[in-house]
Amino acid sequence: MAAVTLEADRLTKRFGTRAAVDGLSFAAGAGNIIGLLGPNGAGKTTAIRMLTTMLAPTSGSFTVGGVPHTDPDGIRHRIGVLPESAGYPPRQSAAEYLRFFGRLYGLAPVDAGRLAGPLLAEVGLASRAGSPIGTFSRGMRQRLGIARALINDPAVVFLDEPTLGLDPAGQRQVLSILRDIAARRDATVVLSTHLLSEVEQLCDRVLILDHGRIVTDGSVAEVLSRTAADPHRARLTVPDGFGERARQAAASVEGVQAEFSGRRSALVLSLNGVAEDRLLDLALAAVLDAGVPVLSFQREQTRLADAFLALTSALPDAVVPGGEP
Amino acid sequence: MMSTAATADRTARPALSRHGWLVIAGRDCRELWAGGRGPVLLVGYSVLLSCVSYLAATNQVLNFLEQREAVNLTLQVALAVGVLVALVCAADAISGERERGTLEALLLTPVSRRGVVAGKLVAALSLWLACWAVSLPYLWVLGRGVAVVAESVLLSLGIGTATALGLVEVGLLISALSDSNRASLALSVFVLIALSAPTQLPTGLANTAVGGALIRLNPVGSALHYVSAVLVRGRGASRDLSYLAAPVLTAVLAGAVLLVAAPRIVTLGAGGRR
Amino acid sequence: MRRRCAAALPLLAIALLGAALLVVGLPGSAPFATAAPDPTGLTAASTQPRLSTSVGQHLDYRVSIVNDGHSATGQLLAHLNIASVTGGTYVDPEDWSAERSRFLPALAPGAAVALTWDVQAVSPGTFALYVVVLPAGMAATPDQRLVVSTPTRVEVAARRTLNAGGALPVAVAVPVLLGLVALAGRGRNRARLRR
Ligand SMILES: Nc1ncnc2c1ncn2[C@@H]1O[C@H](COP(=O)(O)OP(=O)(O)OP(=O)(O)O)[C@@H](O)[C@H]1O
Ligand SMILES: [Mg+2]
Repeated sequence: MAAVTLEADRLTKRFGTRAAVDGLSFAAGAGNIIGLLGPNGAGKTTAIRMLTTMLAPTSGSFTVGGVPHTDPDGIRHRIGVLPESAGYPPRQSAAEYLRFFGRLYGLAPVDAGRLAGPLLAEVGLASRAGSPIGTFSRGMRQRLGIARALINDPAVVFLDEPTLGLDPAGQRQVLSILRDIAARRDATVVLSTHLLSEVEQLCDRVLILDHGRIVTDGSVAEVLSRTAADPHRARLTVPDGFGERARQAAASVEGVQAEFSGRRSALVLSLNGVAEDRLLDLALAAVLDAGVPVLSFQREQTRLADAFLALTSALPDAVVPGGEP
Repeated sequence: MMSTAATADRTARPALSRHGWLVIAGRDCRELWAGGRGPVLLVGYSVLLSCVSYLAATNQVLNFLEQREAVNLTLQVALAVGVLVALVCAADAISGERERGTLEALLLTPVSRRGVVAGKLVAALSLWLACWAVSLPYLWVLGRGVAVVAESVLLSLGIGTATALGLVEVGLLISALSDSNRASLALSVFVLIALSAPTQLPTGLANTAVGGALIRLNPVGSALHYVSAVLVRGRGASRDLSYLAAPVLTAVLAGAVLLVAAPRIVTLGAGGRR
Repeated sequence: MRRRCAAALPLLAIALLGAALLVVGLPGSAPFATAAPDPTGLTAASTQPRLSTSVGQHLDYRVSIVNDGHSATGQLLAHLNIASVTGGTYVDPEDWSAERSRFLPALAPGAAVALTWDVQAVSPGTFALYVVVLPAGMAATPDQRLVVSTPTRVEVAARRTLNAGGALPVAVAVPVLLGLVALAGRGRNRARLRR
């Protein structure tokens, strides 16, 4: 691993008697992208707030770029953060906004002004530099927030649910910006999310949190194989009367299970033990080869929450209601 | 790609943004004055002063004393309302940013919490100073015949600024400690109304020992009392100085509390609840 | 001349003067100007026969009270008064001076007190200021006479005072100007947001 830029040791935060984050330990190096996954109330935001000095840990410690958590000022110089549900001054222009923050980091007015242009270009907002933020879409604001997080060329960038509320194109845009940040700036990127797909595309490393504890930790492939208890699935519908033929054809692919779901014309195809989505495509091909007209074929994205509940056999009340502080 | 010369250095700690408070003060003042809120408040303020001073002036049979009373009345309204406006602005400063979701980004910068507070304090005080400037033509037109213009202008600047400073500090404390912006505004307005109430005591009660102590304890009431003692009763400026203890002490004490507590109470959650 | 000094110097000088008078023993001689001596020997007089000022100014009105009699007085009350000499001007003495009444301790034979009132000229015109000395306290008896000082003539020059017409332009102009500034700022903001 590259030089360690972020290291947490048994980091714990309690609100009263409830532990929002409980014994979080991990390390990350420059250029790494770490995904913090977990359902609502898992403690993702709390963890990020501790690591960004917004909350004092109840116990445990961490360092950022070698600076211990007891020196929050020093840490703030080395991190960039996109907070959860951040607000923006509607009347300021994007460039003014970045210039203001540049000056708060101690840059002279001229230098701060010079920094705004390239940063906005980096997040694809160069053409809107002079527009008031009030006229921005949600995705544009999110990207502006990312530009602000980069203003001090941070060693570690934290993003709390950066794609929340964005459409698929917007999500893809943000994810590619994050990939660039890690690669070109050689920064460590820590992002929290609900979505496994996001992590699959982007992260070198996944930490799955539940009730403030790490339940799984490793590379994406490792975690996927561990969460395969809930296989990837697809839904298949065929005309009445073709159900049984389709089921047999699909089940003939090794590793694929096919079951009727209610009606005898609707099937659920699932992977049994192997996390290879390719098998679902093979099963579809087998069904078509058997001469069955397919009315619809739909992959079910494995939602983290589902996989997660399966993995941790969490009780319904474990998905803590009112997860926001 | 991004290692432009201007980029803050990643490893060495850049010169700590010691002027962060100035940057914040500048941005907040611009937002207040260019954003339209400040000018609109001033228009309302001037309409109020116009009404008060015109009503006072239309009383044609004013003798010398009544005219001084007119100056005094206008000055009292100018002071009390100007201070109220600054207090409300301060009450919005921290809780408002918290509610709009802009506080976290500010706190994530290396600017100290005290710097944040100082910047907001300057912006709120700018509102008071603007109110004072607006009151000048009124004081001039009412007071020029009776030789109190300079006196009333200096009184309102000195005492008004001391009172406004104290109340702005109190407003910032309330704002930092309040759960919501609405709670902060409501509490601040309540504080000011409670502080203005004893100045409305009937003069009989105001002259008793209890009334006098009550007025002296109250920063706004005693400042207003001092102003009318000097302007109307023609007492020397040094004679009733004890009335200035409350405003000055409020400014000093609230300032000290802010200075000491700012790092703990200017936080993401209200009042350092984390 | 000696009397001039007494008027000019503070209390100590008056006490010395009183003592000197006592030693020389000039009973009943009028110490000041024209006030007729009271049978008890008590006199009140101001050394300021004329004062002039203008509306709004403060002036010091000084009065000296001397016991030229052979016996000590009881407790005394000195009360300031003001009247318009030309008439037609409403005068409320309370407006002119905050504390009109002064209580004095008993005066031994030959003793004197100097009193000063801070008087503010409230209206223009010609006025008379004078002091009445009367017995005070529980021991006062109805047959005692009042002692009145000589009046001091006060000329108060008028000054331009307020009228509503003068206030109106300001009352109108200030909000209008501020309103225009606020509107201009708003227009600029709108234009910026539309861009
Ligand atoms: N200020 C606070 N006071 C009390 N409890 C809190 C506070 N902040 C968070 N919590 C609790 O800590 C737990 C973790 O919350 P957190 O916001 O970190 O979750 P999260 O993983 O970010 O959830 P989400 O996906 O909804 O954003 C929750 O149970 C929440 O109720
Ligand atoms: Mg969260």
